[in-house]
This record gives sequence, structure tokens and C-alpha cells, in this order.
Amino acid sequence: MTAAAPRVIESKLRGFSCAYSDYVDDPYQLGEFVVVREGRFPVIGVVSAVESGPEDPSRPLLPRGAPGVSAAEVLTINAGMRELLRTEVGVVACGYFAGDRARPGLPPLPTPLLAEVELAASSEIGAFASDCAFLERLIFDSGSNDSTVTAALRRVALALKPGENDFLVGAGKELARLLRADPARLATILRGVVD
Amino acid sequence: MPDERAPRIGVVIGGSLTRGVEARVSSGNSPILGQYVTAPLDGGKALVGMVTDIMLQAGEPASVAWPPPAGDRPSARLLREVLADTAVYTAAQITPYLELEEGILDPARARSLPRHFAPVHLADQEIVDAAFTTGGDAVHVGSPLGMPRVEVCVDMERLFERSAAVFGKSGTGKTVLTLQILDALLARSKNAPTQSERTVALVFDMHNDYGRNLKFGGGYRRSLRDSHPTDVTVYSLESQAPGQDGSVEIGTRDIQPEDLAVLQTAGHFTLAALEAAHEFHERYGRDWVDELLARDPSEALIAGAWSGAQVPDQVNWSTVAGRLGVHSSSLDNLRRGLRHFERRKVVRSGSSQFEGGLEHIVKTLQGGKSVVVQFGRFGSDLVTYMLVANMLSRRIWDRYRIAVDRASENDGQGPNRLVIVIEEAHKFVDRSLANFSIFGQIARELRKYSVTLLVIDQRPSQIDPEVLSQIGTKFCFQLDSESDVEAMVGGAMGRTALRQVISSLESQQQSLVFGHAVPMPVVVRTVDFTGDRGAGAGLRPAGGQGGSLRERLDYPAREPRTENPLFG
Repeated sequence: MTAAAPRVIESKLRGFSCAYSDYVDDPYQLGEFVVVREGRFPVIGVVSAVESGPEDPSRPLLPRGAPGVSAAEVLTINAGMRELLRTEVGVVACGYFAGDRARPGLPPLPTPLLAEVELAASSEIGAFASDCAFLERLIFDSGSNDSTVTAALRRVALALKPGENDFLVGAGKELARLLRADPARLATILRGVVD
Repeated sequence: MPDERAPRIGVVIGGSLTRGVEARVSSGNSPILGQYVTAPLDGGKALVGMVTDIMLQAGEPASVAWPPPAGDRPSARLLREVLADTAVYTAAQITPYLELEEGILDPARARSLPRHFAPVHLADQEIVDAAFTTGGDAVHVGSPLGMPRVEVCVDMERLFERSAAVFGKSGTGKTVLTLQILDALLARSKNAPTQSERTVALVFDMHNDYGRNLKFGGGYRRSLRDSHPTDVTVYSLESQAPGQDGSVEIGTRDIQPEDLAVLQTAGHFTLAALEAAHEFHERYGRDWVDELLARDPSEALIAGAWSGAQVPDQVNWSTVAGRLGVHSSSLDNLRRGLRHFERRKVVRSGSSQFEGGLEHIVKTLQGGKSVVVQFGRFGSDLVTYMLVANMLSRRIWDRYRIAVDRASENDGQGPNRLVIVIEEAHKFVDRSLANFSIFGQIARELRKYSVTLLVIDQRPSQIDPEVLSQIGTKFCFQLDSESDVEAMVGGAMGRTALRQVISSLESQQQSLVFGHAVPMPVVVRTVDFTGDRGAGAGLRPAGGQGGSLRERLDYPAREPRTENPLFG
């Protein structure tokens, strides 16, 4: 069963957090491109964090289930438990749409609260990310790290197949420009993408 | 603006007029040393310069401190590809030489620089045409590097206005280029309206390259005589040499002490021995050499030495030396040196042959014909070569000097212009001999007496710097020695850059041309004019041969340009 799309629960210009209505097993993944289409300026961003836990932090989750019983079986046995849990996703805003054009950088306005967050289509990823301008936001945002960048690059490369090699060289050159004083970090990111 | 169709190699990123312009080379381009490039200047002008250095630069020092790993792992390959032309890049040092401006024929020396990020293009035919436009007759000396169909022509008037030189180590192409220049000189001279307007050459042909066919690369090139049978007279030191028009014979009575002065090093004459030569010449006149070549002092010599005083019972050369105040070993040195010529049968004892032959040569030269003096079997004897070249040149230069002085006194017409071609020039004009040698004097006098030099040599560092500095145009083939390269560039503008260019020349048929006759230095692949091209194949007469250079080369007509014109 496909879970309902998460909704924005906290919003800033630099990014937003969204949450599913309950705990989901297969949320959006690190590095995936997501879009919030509602609002004056639809925002496109990259998933930089995924977190699941109890809805009420003051009521910690107890480790239920007998030995040898899987997590899915525990949730089936305790039918009401899933609703007491939440899965949240953190997103770094990398750009926005103004008319038909996707623009890299911070959006003029944050996303509306409770707006639905969708996965971006491959064509949208290609159009937005092929020039690698989004990398600047990911590299310098405190909510992102090298793993986020690596995962995002792999997503774009996948979307641009069979032209992924040219993209990776272009992305590498953009990263080299951005990380000019930190070649070790550049090497780490590229190694994560292709090895 | 430069021609947008010429390949763009990068953009300007810095520089200065004195240090040159630095251009960042864009990906996929590999400029080579010596190539011409152009960049737009303000005011619609174009700067023309030469690539004089290529550097590998790091935009960020950290990128080379942490180089990408070696090996074939995908990430290593990607990292190398990513860093190339971003964190590290290739830069070209460009020495600026000329500014070109539309509608102005004479290019000006570079006095301004292109702006940052101005595009840098390889120069094309149009740029080279504009830079090397000559007002008069010119000789085609080759094509710029990477531009095989473009001609570089050197203005002949300017080439021989001052002395010129062809330098390079053995086998690089000096003789072929010299032959080509002389061929054009003779073809041009033939068309001169009067004899006095002709420029003639006196070639001291040490290795028999110019009068006879030049053997090269398994084939033969036509000699000057074959190409210009009515304009070249061949003399030989061998009386029975085939194909000669006359012989140069030297008698012992022809030699003057000044003729030996240049032989100090090559002939091992000491300064004291040369002093002794003057002493003997003063006492015994034209017989001085014959007297010294005798086994024992002659009666005449003894009578002259003691002149009325009591002659000792035993007179030998040692007592003669003592009597004349000459050190005995110096006299031995002088006699030993003179006996060399006798042994080699270069000079004829007791005779004076030279003046007649000399007069004939002078008349031939002033009559508008060039002269090749072949040395035949004497070509391997440097001392003989130097003696003959010095003797002839001294006397011919004297004749020209007198003719010029007389013409200026009488407001008349002076003699025609003479170019003396000498090989192994450093033996004549090294640091110790430059003041004794007639060639040093000719180089210093420039064209005052209508005589200039065309020097062919392998060791420019051995030539007196003052003489070298008087050489107007230099053709430089590959040189091995650092000191030779340094001597070549001397006080030339941008000498550091020129030094690098010379060091990069290939071992054959590549020459750097710079100096008086060319507007800027140029590296050319010299032309190989083989026998069937006919006489004067390298001559480019003033006004062209029926059209522009493009038409002469049978280039397709240019399409009308709608944008990006050369200027403005």
C-alpha cells in the first residue's frame, strides 16, 4: 500500500520538514528530489534527513515483540501502534519555479505549511539539475552533508542516463570550483558517486 | 577583433607588456611554442604575439598538494578529468610584438594589452599577411609553425641593409636556406634597371656547396651557377677544377702581415710572430715571405740585417732573430706558419699572382655579377680558407671604400651593393680577432661602403659580441649550447622568451627569424626548394605576382564576412 504524501510541518527559506501521517516503512530517501507545488513559488529540494519515532517525545517507544518476531509482525500484532509513531523528512531547498523556469537558489518565500510534498519527476530533475547549479545550496547548507550531495548526484545521474558521464564530469568541475580549498572533500564525494 | 574563424585557444588572464600576456588555454587546445596568436585590443586594433612559454598552473595550491590517485578506478579517472582545466590548467605565455590596425599598412610595435578575458585566437593568413606586408621585393623563407600554407617573406632591402647571419648546428639546414636567399638575391638583382642598383654576392664556398650542386638528403639542388648561369662567376683555388671560370692564385709576394692577423688562433701565430712579420715586411718588402721560407738566411737577408756591420762567421735564423731584435721562438713560429701554406701548395713561391685575379673579381662584382670562390681540396683546411677569405675581402673592401669615397666627393654614383658570404665566421671575428679582421670592420661599418656580410656559423657565442650586435637579421636553427643560445638573443627584446623558442626548435628545417628585416620574431619551417622549381623560386617581387598573397597561393576566395570582422 502506498503511503499518503507527507505534508510540510515546518518551513523556512533554507528548507522545510515534512511528516507522514504515521510511521511508514518506505519514506522518501536521502538525496531524492522533492517538489512542493503549492504556494506562489513552487519549491524543489533534496532530502537531507529522514527520522522516525514516537509522536509524543515524552512517551518513548518500548521494545515490544517476542524473540524472532519481525518489526512488521510486531506492528501487525499491535495494530494501534503505527498511529502513535511518525516519520519525518528534512529537505534542503535548492531552487524554485518562477513561471516555466526552474531557478537555483533560495526561494523568495518558504513553502506553505501542510502543503503536500511530492517526488520530482525524472524530467523535472533533468531540467533543474543538469547544469549543476543546485550544488552550491547543498554544499554550503548546514542541513546537508557530503552523503546528501553524493546521493543527490547519483539521483541526477540516473535521471540523465545515458548522458550521465558528461553530467558527472560537469558536476565534478562545479564541485571543484565550490570546494577549491578542500580537494579531499571533493575526492570523497566523487568516490561516493562512482565507486 | 580577430578572425572568429581562426581557432580560439583561450582567454587572457593577466600579464604585462614587459613580461608578456598570460592566457588560460581552454580545454582541448594545445598551442605550441613559436605559434602566432592574436587578441583584440581597444579601439578595434588587434595584438599579435608569439607563444613563448607553456605552463602547467594550479588554480588552487591545495589541488596539487592532494593530487588525484593514480590508477584506473572510476573515481580516480573522474577526479583527474574534473580537476583538469578547473583546479589545474594550462597557460600560455604570449610575448606581444605588434599592433595591427585596419587601413594602416605598417604594423606598430605593441604598446597596449588586451583586456582580461579577451579571447585569444591562433593567427590566420590574414593576420600574417598584415604583419609581414613588405613594401619591396621579398624572399620567402618558410611557413609559420602550424600554418603550412602561409608564407613568411623577408624584405630583401632590409635584409641586406645591414649584415645578416644564419646560425645553427651542423645539418640543420643553414646551407639550403642560404642558397635560397642567394638565389632570390640574384633573381632580384637581374631585374635591377642598372648595374649599380644590383646587389651581388661574394661567396667563400668552403665546402663547394654554392658553385656546384649541393648534395642533400639523397638528391641534388641546383647550384647558384646552374640557376643563374649569366650572373654567377665561379673561381677556384684549384687551377684545374671542373666548371670554374677562373682561378685564385696567391703568390708569396702577395701576402702582407695584415693578412696573417686573423690566423692567430687557427694558424697558431703568436702576437710576437706577427710583430716579427711586420719587421720583416718593412725590411724586405714584398720578398719577405720568400726570405723567411728559405732553409737558411739568404745573402740578401743577411746584408739587410747587418747593413754594413760585421757579419758573424756563422749566421743562422737564431742569429738573424737576435740581430733584428726578434725572439728566436717567435721567428720559428712565423716560419712554421708560413711553411704550412707552402706545404699545402696554397701559395706559389717567388710570384705575385693575386692582383690580376683580384682585379678581375672586383670588376666582375662591380659589373653586376656574383662570385663564388670554391676551395676544392682546400675546403678542409681552415687556415687556408681564412687566409684567402681575409686577403680577398680586405682588398675588395678597400676598392669599394675608395669607390664610395670617390663617388661622394664627385657627387657621382657609388658601386653596387656587395654581400660577402662567409662560413665559420667565429674563426674570423672571435673576441681576440674582431679588431684585426676585415669582417669585424665590415659588420661595424654597416652599409656605409655598400658592403655587408651574410654570416653562416655554428658557434655564435664565439663571435665578438660587438660584431654580433651589429648583425641586423638573424636566422637561427637549432643550437645545442646554452652559451650559443644566449649569444644569439643578446640584447634582443624579449630575449628570455626567444631563448625558450630557440631551445625548442627541431633539429632540421626549423628556424627562428628575428631582427632588422622582420617586424617580429617568427619561427618558420624553412622551404625546401628542390632543383625543378627554377631560379628565383623564393623571390616575391614588390606588388606581388598578379594579385594578393592569397591569390598567388591559389587560396579559395574568402566568403563575404557578415560578422566578426578582423577589425572593429
